[in-house]
Amino acid sequence: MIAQPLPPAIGPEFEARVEVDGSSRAVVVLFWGTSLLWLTVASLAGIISSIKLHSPDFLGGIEWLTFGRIRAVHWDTAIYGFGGLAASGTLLWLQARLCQVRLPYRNLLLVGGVVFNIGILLGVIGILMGQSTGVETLEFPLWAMPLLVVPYVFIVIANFTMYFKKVTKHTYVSQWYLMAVTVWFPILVLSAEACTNLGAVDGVAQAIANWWYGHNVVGLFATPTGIAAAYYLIPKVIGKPIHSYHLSLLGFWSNAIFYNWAGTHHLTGGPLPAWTITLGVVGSLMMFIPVITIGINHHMTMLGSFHLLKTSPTLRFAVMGSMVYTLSSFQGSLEALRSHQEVTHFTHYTIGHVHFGMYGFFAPLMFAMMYYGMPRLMDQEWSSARLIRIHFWCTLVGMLIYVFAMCYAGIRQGLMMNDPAVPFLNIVRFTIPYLGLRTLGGVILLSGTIAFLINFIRIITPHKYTWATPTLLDSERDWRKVVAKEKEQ
Amino acid sequence: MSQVTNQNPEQDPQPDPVFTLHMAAMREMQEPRDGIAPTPVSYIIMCLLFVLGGGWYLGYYGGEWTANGLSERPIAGIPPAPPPQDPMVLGKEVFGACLQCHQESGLGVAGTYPPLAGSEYVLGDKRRLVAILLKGLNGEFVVKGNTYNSQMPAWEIREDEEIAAVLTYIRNSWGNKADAVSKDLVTAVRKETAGRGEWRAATLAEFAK
Repeated sequence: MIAQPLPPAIGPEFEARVEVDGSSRAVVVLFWGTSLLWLTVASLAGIISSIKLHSPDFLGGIEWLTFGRIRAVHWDTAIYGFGGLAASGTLLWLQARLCQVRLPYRNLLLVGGVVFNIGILLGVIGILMGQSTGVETLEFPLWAMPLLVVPYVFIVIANFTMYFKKVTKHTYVSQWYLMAVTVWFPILVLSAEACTNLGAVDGVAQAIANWWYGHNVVGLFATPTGIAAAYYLIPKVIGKPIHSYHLSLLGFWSNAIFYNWAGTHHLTGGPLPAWTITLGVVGSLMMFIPVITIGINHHMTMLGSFHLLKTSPTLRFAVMGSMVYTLSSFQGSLEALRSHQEVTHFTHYTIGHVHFGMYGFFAPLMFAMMYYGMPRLMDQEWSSARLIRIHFWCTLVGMLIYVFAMCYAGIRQGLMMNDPAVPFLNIVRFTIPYLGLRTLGGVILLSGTIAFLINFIRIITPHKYTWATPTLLDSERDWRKVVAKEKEQ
Repeated sequence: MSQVTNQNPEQDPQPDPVFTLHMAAMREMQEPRDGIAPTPVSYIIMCLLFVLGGGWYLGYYGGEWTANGLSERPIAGIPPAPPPQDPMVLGKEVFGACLQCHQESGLGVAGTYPPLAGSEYVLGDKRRLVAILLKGLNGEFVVKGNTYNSQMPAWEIREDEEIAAVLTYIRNSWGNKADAVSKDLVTAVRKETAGRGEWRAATLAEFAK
């Protein structure tokens, strides 16, 4: 059953939207803009760590850039700097729009956004100085954490205030996910910090808490925000309702019930009671249910509208993100199985999977959100279609090169490591070309980010000359032409 | 919203019907809503199959469901005890720690470290031999008619089984031939000499009386 398009929005809904967008402008642009800066930092740190793996002498003499520090900086800036800020900006903008209320506590949120950024900056400097806690994903020194936690409390309060003051009667599926994130994430961070860095538990239990958090920060923070964005953007751009309310419900609750258990599969083979790992494996396998459900719901909504991918930047990124969500989640569920881990555990395969999820699913959906939101927030259009095309193809190609190189090398590496006849050094030598390919993938991804940054900086600076119609992918718009035109006048 | 000061005449080559409505108010669709497509029965069955599969996996790989059950599959029956290790093989391995002084040949270093091959202390009283190894030996000492003055370290930290094995090894190498030293003897001597310091020639003679 293919749904018929809804009529465009005019009248009171349109007027309310203009007012709501106006209220959230400063806060959301601050969050999204700084998230892109952190994405650039994260990519640079990632490329440095990647080069070090195939050319160990690279920057070898600089203590601050040793692998153990720069890799932690890469992941923490990617998840908190880019992920945290992009997701929070998305949360505030979407919630204000869907509740049709003006964004509350704007000054507090602006200060919070600045403090959050300072917190990440200080945390990064702390790690580079060698003060990393050594607990994966919670590497920031403890003294930097309040600067991240307190602003997030503001965001949680703003989110609930909007929800309780909402004008709309219906609660849309994106809102379920956004509300859930603000409930789950503070619980996750606080209990994980308590159990690891603050020492509430010892030994093996710390490892469980660490990986429970490490997996959930992706699964219960990044993923729900990404899904909320997809649930909003796909029907919004194509102008059709979401396929099925019941599938939305089933997808949300099965995700909520099963994801939380999955973390311990990271510790397969470790000195944990076997049942804790079995629970993690089963939690991961059960993720097939929400993933298939959400996949069906998005696909059936898109059915009949795929031709719009030719023109709409938002839709192209959103559909890429949704498709990779299904693929990377299938990969992740299978990866949790003990028989699979016998080969791929402790190999590059895992790193390939993480990037498939973060850069193939989460990041494109955040980009889609910005491509959709920024013209509405700033009242001007993206100045260059060419830069959008560069951004999209760099993201897709770079991500595919990266994921292919890591997953293929990881499987071969794992098979060789299981064969006692193969000397270890031969395995290391085998992976070197693929590690080089990974650096190439990383550089392509960074090029895409820089193209996006240029476009982003253009859209937040006021211009005398701008396009009257939305910038679509098949247009010849080029910001250099705009600059030339501006000079002419 | 529509503060565009200078409109560009550029038109998209083949505008899509959805995007032709490009007035500021018209550029955006309504806020999304939920459709009410029915949930297929096959989908419900698929979910149930996944739940069943997950339940089976939990039961099959639950281990013992205890804090100490580290193996995901219960072990059937009592595992066979590991075969006893040949003391000569283990002894040769442990002897690696003795090589530097007593040499691979068991002849020691003339004038500095006493030989083990043909030594009356090695081939003689087993209780005394164990005592020397456990506690070490310091000061002047006569072996095979030659006087040595060096220090033999104490090896108390090694397992009883290892000490028994290395002593059996030196009693049966380089032409030596004597019966094996048992692990029980080492345990007994360790208990007997507990709390004592290293031997001197005189204290050892008294102990071995």
